[in-house]
Amino acid sequence: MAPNPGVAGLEEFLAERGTHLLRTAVLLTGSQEAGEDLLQTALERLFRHWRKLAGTDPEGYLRRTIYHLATDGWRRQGRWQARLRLLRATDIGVVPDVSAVIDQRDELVRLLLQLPAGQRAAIVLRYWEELGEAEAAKVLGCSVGTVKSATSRGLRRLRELSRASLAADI
Amino acid sequence: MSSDLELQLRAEMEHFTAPVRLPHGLVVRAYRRQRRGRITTWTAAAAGTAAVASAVAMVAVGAAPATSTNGQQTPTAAYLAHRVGVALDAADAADDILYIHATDNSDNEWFYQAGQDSKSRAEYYNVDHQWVEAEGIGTPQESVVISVNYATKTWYRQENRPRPRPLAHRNFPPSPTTSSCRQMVPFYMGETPTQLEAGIREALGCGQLLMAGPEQVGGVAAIKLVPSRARLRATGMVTPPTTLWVSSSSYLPVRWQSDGPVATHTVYDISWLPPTAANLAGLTVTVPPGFRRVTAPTHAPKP
Repeated sequence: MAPNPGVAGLEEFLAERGTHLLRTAVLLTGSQEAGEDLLQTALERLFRHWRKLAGTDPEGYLRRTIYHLATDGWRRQGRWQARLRLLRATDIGVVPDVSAVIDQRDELVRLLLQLPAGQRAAIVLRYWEELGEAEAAKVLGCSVGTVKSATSRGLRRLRELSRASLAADI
Repeated sequence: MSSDLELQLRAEMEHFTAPVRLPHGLVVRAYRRQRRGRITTWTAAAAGTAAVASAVAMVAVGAAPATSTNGQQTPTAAYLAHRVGVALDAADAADDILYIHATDNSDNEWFYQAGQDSKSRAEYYNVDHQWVEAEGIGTPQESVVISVNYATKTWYRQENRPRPRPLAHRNFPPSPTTSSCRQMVPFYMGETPTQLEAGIREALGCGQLLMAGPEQVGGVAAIKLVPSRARLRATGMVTPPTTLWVSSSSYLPVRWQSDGPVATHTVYDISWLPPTAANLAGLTVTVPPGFRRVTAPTHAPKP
């Protein structure tokens, strides 16, 4: 059941496109849990501006919000969230999050998480969403040149990290 | 896309996210969170920070909101109790997780968090700040404790262990003449958010806490409420006096302090976490690999 009649359409939209948006959020954050947090935060913002956004494309707004939140370090907000992360950090070595268990086939995605947020966002937009440079720039709210350089630096760094990882395995 | 790296990256992204499915209820949770933000914002705006600041200087327990000569409503303790109730209702409606960091003057430390469904997790640290134990508790109807001891690297599972003693019967709005108002309302670590909310409401409604003035708590502007000496005398002080601080903007409790009989005190810093997947996952206790399972103690702690 929809929370209220005004957002009934949003549930239908998310039933159709929500999984794709969540997969995007997972790629930007590295785990299903963090991805859900990111998408939920973006949805909260959507509800906040729902009246103003009536008649517009909710997917476009949600996508922009997800990328902006991901690049703005939204998870650093809140001192208690930081405390919780510190607590959980002690868990990581012993009981990993199931969704974070990555096999070798996902090595590049794992390395992707080591990139700065801006480079990661540019790469996800270009190679996951398969957007052109101009479209990616529009989503990120930056110039085409910024997208080009972020993508190029990100790919170069991924190659370096991949080679280093391969060398370590050998 | 041209290079092998780029092709491989695209394929890995597809593979990595293939199991991801949108969880049921995400939209509703987001909607509730957003509604809660609106409610608390509205509450703060309606009351007016300045009005609250002037009100906290008063000690007017149990008084109904009065009207001053200029026609404006003068907030009283009863008014504050009402505002705290509204804020707690909003936290409840949003299914927020109660999160507490407690320290005592013997340098012990606890972290405790509890969801609205009574599932909770506690972590204990000793005076050397070593993680001693993590413990999870199920619902009152199906109490299952998984206790992990990091000092001994052991764990046990225990079912039907009595939960921490629930608070006395709550009446809301409480009346100073009701039986539940005849004793000081204590606060316990291990309470569910609902129990804590009921306790705070009752303490305010029964006049057990008096407004003492504004005070900063951890960088948050708060209103300090101190135990009523009259109430302490009337009740024979059977429970430790409690001091409570509520945020002067959101009206949610941000700290309480329990003072023991012999110069002991425990400070509980309170936060309300949104029920996101990551925060809900924090309520689950997991047993680290290699820890040895031991028999659960036969004597359950007394409730």
